[in-house]
Amino acid sequence: MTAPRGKIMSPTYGTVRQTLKFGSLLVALAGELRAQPAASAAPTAALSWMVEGGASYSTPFVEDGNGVFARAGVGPYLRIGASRGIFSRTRATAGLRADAAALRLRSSASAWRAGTTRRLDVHAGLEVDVTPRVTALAGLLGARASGPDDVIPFRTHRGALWTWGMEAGAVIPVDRRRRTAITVVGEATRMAAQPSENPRLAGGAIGRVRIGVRHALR
Amino acid sequence: MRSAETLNGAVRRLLAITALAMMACTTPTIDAAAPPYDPTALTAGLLYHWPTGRTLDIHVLGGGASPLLDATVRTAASRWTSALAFREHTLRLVDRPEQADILVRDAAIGMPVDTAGCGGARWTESFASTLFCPAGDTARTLSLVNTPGGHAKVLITIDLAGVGNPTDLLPIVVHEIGHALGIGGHSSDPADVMFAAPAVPSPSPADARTLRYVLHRRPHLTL
Repeated sequence: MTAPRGKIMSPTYGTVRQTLKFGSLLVALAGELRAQPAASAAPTAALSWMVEGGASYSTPFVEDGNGVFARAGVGPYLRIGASRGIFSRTRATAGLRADAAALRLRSSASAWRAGTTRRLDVHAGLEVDVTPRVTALAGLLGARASGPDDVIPFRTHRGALWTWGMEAGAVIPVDRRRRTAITVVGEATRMAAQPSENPRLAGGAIGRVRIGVRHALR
Repeated sequence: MRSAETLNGAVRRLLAITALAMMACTTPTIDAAAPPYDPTALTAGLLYHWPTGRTLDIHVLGGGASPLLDATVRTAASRWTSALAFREHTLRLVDRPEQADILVRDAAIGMPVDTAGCGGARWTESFASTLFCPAGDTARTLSLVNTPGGHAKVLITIDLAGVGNPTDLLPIVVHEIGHALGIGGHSSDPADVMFAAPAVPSPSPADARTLRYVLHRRPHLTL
C-alpha cells in the first residue's frame, strides 16, 4: 500500500484576515502621513523614557506538510524604550523588548504544548504624529528567539535563533497629557532556512501583532 | 524642512514595506513527504497511535533483576524521543507497572497481564514481540495479573536468553518501541531500525519521517 502524500495547508483564514486588516491600517496611516504638511526642522523634546507592556500573538513558526503547526501562543511582553524629538512631529525611538509565550503545536489529530518560547529584541525606528490623535511608528528590529531545543525550529544552535525584521503600527494617546497610550504594532521577522536539519526547514516570515499600553516616564 | 520631508518619506516607505512583508508572509515550511515505507502494512491499513503530545510511561517488569534490559529500554526510549521533531511524545521509565502505558518484560517472566480474548495486533520478530488488544476505536487496558489497577495498553516481550549477544539487544528494543508508538509496518532497508531484522541502534531519518507521518494522521485506533 502506498500511503497518501501529505498536503501543505494554506495559511489559516484568521491569519490572512488579520494580515489584511493590518495592511489596511498601514495604508490608511501612510495616506494620513502623506496628507500632513512637512514638519519644522526644530527638535522639540529631550530624551524621554517609556515603559510598555501588553500581549502579542504570532503566526506559525513552522508549518509541516504533514499537518503540524508550531506557533507561540498569546503571551505577555515588556518593553523599555527611549525617544527623542528630532522634528516637531517626529521622534527617533529605540528600545529593548522581551516576551514569552507557550509553544503550542497542533496537528489534525490533536493539540499540545511543548515548553515556552522567549524572545529578546533590540529595535529602533521613527514615530510621526500623523493626526492629533494618532502617531504612526515604523522601525527595524533584531531579535534572539529561544525555545525547547528538541522542537523544530529550535533544534539548531542549542535552542536559540537570531532573526531580524520590520515593524509598523500606531500609538493612540488615551490621556490629556499624552503620557499614556495604546499601541498596536505589527511586525514581520525573517526565519532563515535550516537546510542541514532533518527534516529540512525552508525559510520564511513570521508575523506578529502586539497590543499594549505605553507610559512615558518623563 | 528638507530633512523632515526625507524622514517622512522614509517612514512611509517602511510602512509600505512592512505591510507588503506581512501580506506576503510565507510561513517557514517543512515539505510533506510520503513515508519511506508503509506504516500500516502489518495492520491491513489500520493506523494507530497514542494521543499526540502525551508523555508515555514505560515500565520494565523485573527490571531490577535485569539491569541490562532496564538500561537498554531507557536508551531506546531516549533515542525515539530525540527522533521526534515536535515533542509529540516524551518517553520515560516509571518504577511501578500500574503507572505504565507500555510494559516491557523478559520472556522468562510469566505473562504479567491478562490477554484472554485478545485477538489483537501482535508483531513477533525473532526474540521479541509487541502486543495490544483492539477494542473498537481504542485498545483494551491490559489488566495486571498480580497488581490491581494499571492502564497499560501495550506489552513488549523480549527473549533476553535468545538474544544472546547484549549488543544485539538495543536494535531489537528500539524496533519494538517503534511498533508501540504507531509504526505497524517494516522497512525493507537494513539501514532503518524498523527493518524486520533490525541491526542499527537508533531510528534512521526514514524511521523518524515514517513516525512523524503516522503521528499527524487521524488514527483509526487511538491507544
